[in-house]
Amino acid sequence: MTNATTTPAPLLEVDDLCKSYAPKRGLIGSILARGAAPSNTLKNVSFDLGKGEILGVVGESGSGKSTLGFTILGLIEASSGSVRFDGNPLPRSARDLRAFRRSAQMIFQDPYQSLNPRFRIKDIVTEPLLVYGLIGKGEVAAAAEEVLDLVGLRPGKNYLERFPHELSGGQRQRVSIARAVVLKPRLLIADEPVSMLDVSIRAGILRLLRSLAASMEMSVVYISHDLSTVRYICDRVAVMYRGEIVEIGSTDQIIASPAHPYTKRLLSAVPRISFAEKRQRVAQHA
Amino acid sequence: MSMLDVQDLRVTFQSDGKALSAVDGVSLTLDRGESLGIVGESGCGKTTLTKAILRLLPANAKTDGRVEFQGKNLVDLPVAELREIRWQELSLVTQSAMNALDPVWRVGDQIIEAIRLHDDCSRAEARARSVTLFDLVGLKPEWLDRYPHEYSGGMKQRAIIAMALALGPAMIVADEPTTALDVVMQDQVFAEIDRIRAAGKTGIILITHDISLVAENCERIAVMYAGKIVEYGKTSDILDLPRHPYTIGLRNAFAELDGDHELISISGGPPDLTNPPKGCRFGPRCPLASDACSQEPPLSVLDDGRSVACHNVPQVEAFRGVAKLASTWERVGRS
Repeated sequence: MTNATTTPAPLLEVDDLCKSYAPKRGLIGSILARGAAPSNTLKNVSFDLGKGEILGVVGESGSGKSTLGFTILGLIEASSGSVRFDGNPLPRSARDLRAFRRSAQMIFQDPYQSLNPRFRIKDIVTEPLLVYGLIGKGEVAAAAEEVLDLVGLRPGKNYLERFPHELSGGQRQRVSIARAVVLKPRLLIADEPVSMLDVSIRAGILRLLRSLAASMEMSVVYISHDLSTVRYICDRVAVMYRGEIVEIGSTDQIIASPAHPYTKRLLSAVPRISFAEKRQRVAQHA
Repeated sequence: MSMLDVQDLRVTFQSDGKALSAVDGVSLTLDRGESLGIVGESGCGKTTLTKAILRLLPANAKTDGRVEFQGKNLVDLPVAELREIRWQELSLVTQSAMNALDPVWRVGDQIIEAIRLHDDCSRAEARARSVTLFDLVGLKPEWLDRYPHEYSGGMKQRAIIAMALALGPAMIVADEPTTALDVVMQDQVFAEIDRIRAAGKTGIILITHDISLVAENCERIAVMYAGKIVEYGKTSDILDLPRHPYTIGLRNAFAELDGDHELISISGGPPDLTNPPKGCRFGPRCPLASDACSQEPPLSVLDDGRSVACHNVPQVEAFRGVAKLASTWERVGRS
């Protein structure tokens, strides 16, 4: 399943990435910082992502998962280390970044907050095309219809004139996926894309991401604290703890035979439906 | 008679001249030492049901039916008496409960205040009790003297649970108590909740969309759809072998760490309750729907003791096989 083994050149090469924040200064700063662990940092994070591969990034709150996503996209500047995209270092100039972002997109956790409430659906999903001058104003409806169909909002034309508040949470998340994939990006960072959604519709979103990754040969970094959804979508999983990748491997291997104590603890905390055996809680250190 | 006995509870909201029936004829019971899980999609009335039980609904809600709690009907209890019972006997822990802590007070002082408001005891006694409570939820006593901003999210939620326990309530209603927490914190919180239940003095109602939490923490489960209970009984029976098509759908859609099934969504969403479908409310999304479903199915007790509201229970065994195919569920949504 992993394309990295068959494709010699990975899409993304993350090498020794670090991000640290300067300690808070001054009286107020030092009071606020008291007892706070510097956890929102990255420490020597390295991994490759193959073309069309889906990599899960899991870990508890504050383990640096989202920071990693932002750093890969250049939304946060790394303190040291490098990110190479398709063999080239991450661009620094505004012009080059603009070109890079056409091939690297992101979707967020909360589809209630990430869509402009005053925009119609057709304008939300085609805005990236207009920004990059790929279509003219007259082509908005046709382009919107096509991408809405692609993300399973069918028939697309029924959604064109609607506003986000008229859609359900699952439909909104499909709109935000449409907006991200309309540029046919080669990389998609999905930061907890289903954790705000009802269980009954998560499956549809996960299947959509999986099929888009396959049909568009799009690589996906799927960030989540929920190991059970990771299992259904990811080829490989990286487990993060306090800014470090403590374990990385194929999804099956990580779930069936975790090696790192933290991975074991994370897995042991997931509740199970199976009534055959009662789950044993791994001792907590809190 | 059970500690909590809810009979034919109905909640109707009036808005813009339309009546919306959010809870429609729900009956359930709970005893001390028991736990009941209420599951279903968003908008199925889970939260409204528990707010109706605790009488926390806004003024435009009309509640009918009976909520007998320790022999008193809470639906028409005078407010002064209700206030005595709340917190003392009935506690609520919500999803965002951690935001309920006052940021300018030390957490310990907030607990001590709550204890002294209901119990005639000295500050020192209340403080001693707070230390015990914190110990119960795995927080060291020195955290009593700290402010909410010094706590992590999981610690705040545990402090809230300690407060909910402060007066030894007979019943705790926990509405998505860990949804804001990550899985490691969630596990810690549930270890505490389960210990409290197992001690036998407290009954717990857990509202969640996470059926694995119910599987692990509740002996009984009520599956709600569009304001009604559609399947109700022993959790292990129902989750092992659901007999309502909606429960089967929920089970299919649920991502499990050690499950081997394909993930399948239930097409569509819960109905608009100002204009619910005629007959079975799940009918429009149900692959097993038949002509009979134009009549509302009663909640009937089956041979194994569970209750199911479905006309097609005899067909469910044959349906179980095709229910594992995504196409079975997609067909319904498309039509």
